[in-house]
Order: sequence, then C-alpha cells, then structure tokens
Amino acid sequence: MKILIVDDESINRAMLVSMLSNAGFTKCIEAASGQEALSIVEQAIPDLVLLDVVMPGMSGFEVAPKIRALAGGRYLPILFITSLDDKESLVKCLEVGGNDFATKPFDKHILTAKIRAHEKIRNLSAHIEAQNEELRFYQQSVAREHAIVEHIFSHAIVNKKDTLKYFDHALIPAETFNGDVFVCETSPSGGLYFLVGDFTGHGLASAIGALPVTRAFQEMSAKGLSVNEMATEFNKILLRFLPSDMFMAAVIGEVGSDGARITLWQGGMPQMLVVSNTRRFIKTISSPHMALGILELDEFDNECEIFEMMPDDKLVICSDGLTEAVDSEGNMLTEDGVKQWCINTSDLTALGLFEHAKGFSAKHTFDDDVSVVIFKSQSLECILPHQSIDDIPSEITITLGAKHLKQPDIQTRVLHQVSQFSGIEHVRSVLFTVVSEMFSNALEHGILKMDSNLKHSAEGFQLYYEKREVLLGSMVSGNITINIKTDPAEETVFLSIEDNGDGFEWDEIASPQREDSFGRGLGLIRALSNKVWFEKGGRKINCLLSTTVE
Amino acid sequence: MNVTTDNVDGKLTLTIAMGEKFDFSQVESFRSAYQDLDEGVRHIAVDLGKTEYMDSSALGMLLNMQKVLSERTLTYSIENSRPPVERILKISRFDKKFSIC
Repeated sequence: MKILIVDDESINRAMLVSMLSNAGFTKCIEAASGQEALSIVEQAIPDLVLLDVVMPGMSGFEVAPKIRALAGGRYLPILFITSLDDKESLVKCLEVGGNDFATKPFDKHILTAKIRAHEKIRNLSAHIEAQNEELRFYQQSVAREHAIVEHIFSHAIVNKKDTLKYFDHALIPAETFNGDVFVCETSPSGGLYFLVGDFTGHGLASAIGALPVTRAFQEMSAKGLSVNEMATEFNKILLRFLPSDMFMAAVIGEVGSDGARITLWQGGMPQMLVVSNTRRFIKTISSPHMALGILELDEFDNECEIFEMMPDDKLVICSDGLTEAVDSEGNMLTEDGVKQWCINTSDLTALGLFEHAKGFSAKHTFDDDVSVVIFKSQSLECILPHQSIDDIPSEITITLGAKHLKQPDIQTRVLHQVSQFSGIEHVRSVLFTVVSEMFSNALEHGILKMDSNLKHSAEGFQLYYEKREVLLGSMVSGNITINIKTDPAEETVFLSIEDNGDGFEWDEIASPQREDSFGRGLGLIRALSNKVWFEKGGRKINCLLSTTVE
Repeated sequence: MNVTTDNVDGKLTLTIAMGEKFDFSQVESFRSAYQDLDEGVRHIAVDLGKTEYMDSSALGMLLNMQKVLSERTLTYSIENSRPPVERILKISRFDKKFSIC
C-alpha cells in the first residue's frame, strides 16, 4: 500500500515513516508542502494520504479537495493529521473531503488501526469498481449483440407489403424481442398462407425460434404445400431444435384463391373467431391440437379445419397475451371477454381489440407478447397465380423393388419427391390421381396379375383388396419404374410407369360398365391427361399432363 | 375419417367425412363406416370437404357401398368436394348415382 505523507515538518514526516514501516507499511512517499503533494498525486495516485492541516502556503483544508479532484471517481482515503483538537477544526477535516483524522501526538496503535480500516474499505471499493467495470463491459456486449440480432430479425422476418395488406394486424412485444410471430405469403395457386405463432415465454430466448420457423414457412409457401403438410414439418423442425420445455402454439392457415375458403391447423392457441357483421353472427374455433414441438412424429395429428367465409367476414386470431390481460381485481379478459367485445363492436379492428385489452388491463401494459391478426374475406384477384414458365425443368426416375412395393405409403413417398419440383403446384391433386391409377394398374395387374372381374360383386370387391394384401405380402420379385419429367416451358409433366410383368391389352379393359365398381382407372387417366400411350406390350404406360391452371 | 349419425332435414343421416386422402388405403375403414348401419338411417352423406387426393379405387369404394346396401331404401350424396375432386366425380359421371352438392 502506497502512503503519501504530507507535512512541512521533516521531523514529523520521519517519525511517521518509521512508525508506518514498523507496522509493515514500507511504501511511503513524503511531500513537504501542499504543492509538492499535488504534483506527486498528479504523477501517480497513492492508496492513502496522511495530510497535515497547518502548513505554510496551502493548508491541508485547501489541499484535500484538490487531491480528491485529481483522484477522480476512485476511492482515496485522506486522513488528516493535526494538533488542533477543537471540535470545529475536526468537523472541518471531514467537511473538506477528509475521511478521518488522527491527532498529534500520534498513538502508534490507533494510527495503524485506522490505516488498516481504511485499507479494507479501499480494497472493497476497488473490488466493487472492478465488478462495475465488468458489468459495464457485459452490458455493452449484450447491447451490441442485441443490436446485431435485431438487425437480423428486422431483415429475416419481413412480410411483403403486397401480401401484408390483406391482413389487419397488431403485434406488440413485451420486450425488445417478440416471442410471437406473424408471417404471411401468397400461395402459388393465387391464395394466401399465414402463420401466427406464440413461443413459450417472451424476450430474445423465445424470439430466436421465429427465425427457422419463418424460413421454413417461406420455403413451404413457395412450394404450395398443404396446411397439414406444413403443420407436420413445423412440428418436426421445432421438436428437433427446441429444448423440451419450449414449444410454439400456432395457427397455420391457407386462404383459397377465392378469398373465402379457409384451411386451418390450430394448436395451443386461444379460440379464433369468425365474425360476420352483416349476418350478426359469430363462430368460435377452438384449438383441437397441442402446440407444435411437443408431440413425437407418430403422435402428431395434422388434421385441419376447413370452412368457407362470406365476403367481409372477419377471421380473428389472437395470442394468449391478449386474453390473459388482468384487471385491477385480478380477473382475466379471457377468450369469452374477447368474443363479447367482438360481438358488440361495429368496426372490428386489430388495433381496436388491442386497445380494448390494454384498457382492461390494470397496468395498461402487458407481461407477455400480444398479437392480433384479422383476415377479412375478400377478393384475391390481385394475387396472380404462379407462372410456371420460368421454372427449371426437372426429372426423376425411381425404381422400386419388391421390398419397397410392400410399404403401404410408398405412393405417398414417391409423390412427395415429385412435389419438390417447381411448377406443378396447381396439379398436385391430378398428379396424385394419375400416378395412383398407373401405379395400381402396374402393381395389381402387371405384377400381382389380379383380375378386376372379382370386383363384380359387393363381397368380391372386399375380397379383391384382401387378396391384394396377401399377394403383395408373398411377392418376392417385381419392380416398377416411375419416370416423371416436368417441362415448364411447355407447361407439361410427362409420366411413365413400367412394370416387369407380362403386359396386357389395355384397350380391352378400358370400357367399364357404369354399374361396376372397377375399371374406371384408365378412363380417368385419359380424361385428366392430354395424351396417353403404351409401350412394351402394355408393360409401360406413358402420359402427358398439362400444368396450366384451369 | 369421421363418422356421425344425425337427424338432417327430418331424415336420419349417416355422414362419413373423409380425410385428406381417399384411396385404397381406406378400404377397411370406409367399409366399417357403414357396416352396422342403424335401421333408421335413410340417407348417407359422404363429406369430401377435406379431401385433396382421390383415385379410382375410392370411386369403386363409393359404388361398392351402394351395392352392399342395395337391399335398403337409401339416398346418397357426396358433399363439399373441392374442384379437383369434383372434376374426377364429373368425369366418372357420379352424378348419376349420387347427388353431388
């Protein structure tokens, strides 16, 4: 500990130096005047100052505040040494910035004890200062990190203006970062997709999940996936990367190109409302599912709700931050409170609903993120269906052996591969039907050599499918090759399916009796495609489909 | 798939609501939907509101249902079908056997 001794009497200084060094304080610096003391402090700030009051030139009372100023914010104990013993002088010692005083003649024990006590305080103070420094550093780095994340968020989670205009929305985070997410996209068929999600908790930890969800949403929207496919995919993504105590309540929806048909998957969110002003009617839709990111893939249920809205009907979606607003008596607004308000409001808007909840809340603030999203049923004519002409041509050939053909969902898996192709969004249903027909024919007649005449009777129909099961189970060889090629410039898809059976005369089987519950397959393929032709003695069927929107 | 029996317009009606896909994988469950049909049922409605994908085996299943229940006095309807599904029903002239609404 470095101690500065300021006294004009050299004898006093010498006495103090020897007293202190005996007590173990060996680093003492001497100053013979106030002026000298200040220039020493300017060079290097000592750890403690012993300051004489009565000196020629500057007195100790004058020097003390100057030393304090030089020390800045740093804790520097100043002990006055004085022979004055009147109360006034002693009080003044403390008033001018001294921490303590010691009266002459010195008592060695009292002086060293005092110095030790101040040394302790000084160490504590230094410790606090070091911690403050650390805190400041930490604060700065957090602020910097938040700024970076905020930047990323504001660029990654942006809804296109042209799409957003179809939604009336109010999103108010409880903190800087929003654990609620609202994203919307146009669908390739000329409709809309939207997702309103609410992650467990709020703040940055919750908000971070919005990034992968948004990305996946944008990608799936571009591909024109169905709502239940989206729900399954989101669940898979969230299950994989969220910790087990975190999940996302969500509403995933698609609005058909007519602006009226709504397909919804809803899990863990407050009930939604369909409000019709013209019809004075309100319908509630409660979440039938658990939130996303909880259930394992085989437990997950992607079943959707489908309904039609009339023009100007409003679909109201809110997060639980809104329904859980609490008034001064501790009552929650509740889903029912929201419903009542919507019934009684002539001009229902997202901001209006938000303001109502804010007015209801005792604190006029929210503890959780609040989202309100309203879609009004309207014409979506301005959303142009995706034009496939710019898409890249793709081709896939899949050869399935006996092992694959036995899998019950093999067709779905093949079609899933194909649905990755761009430009076929509008014909997913047709493609499913045609591939399914061609595939069934190849498998049931080409490879399993089954006879459709069995299906003549009602019992036979059932028997046919039982027999199919048995034959498929015992099949040892057999393969089917599927080739699918898209040509976006021509707006066509070419399909071919070839089996390794004996082949057969297609045309003979192609005219079903109206009463028969079989034989419609080829007719369907013909009606749905532009062209159908056969090769290799009926072992291979080819067809060309148009991908244009009707 | 969801099966309910309700009184609709004074007629006891069995409603079979199909899921996203209606193909041969539903053979068993579709049949069981009408297997032990209540004596009082006068109408069977097949709701295809959720069905996006369908093939001819589904058509076969629908016709087979009528065949199995031919001894009974019943009317049949197919409801809420989406455009692609409706197209398949139209191509197959199903309006002759079902009222399509």
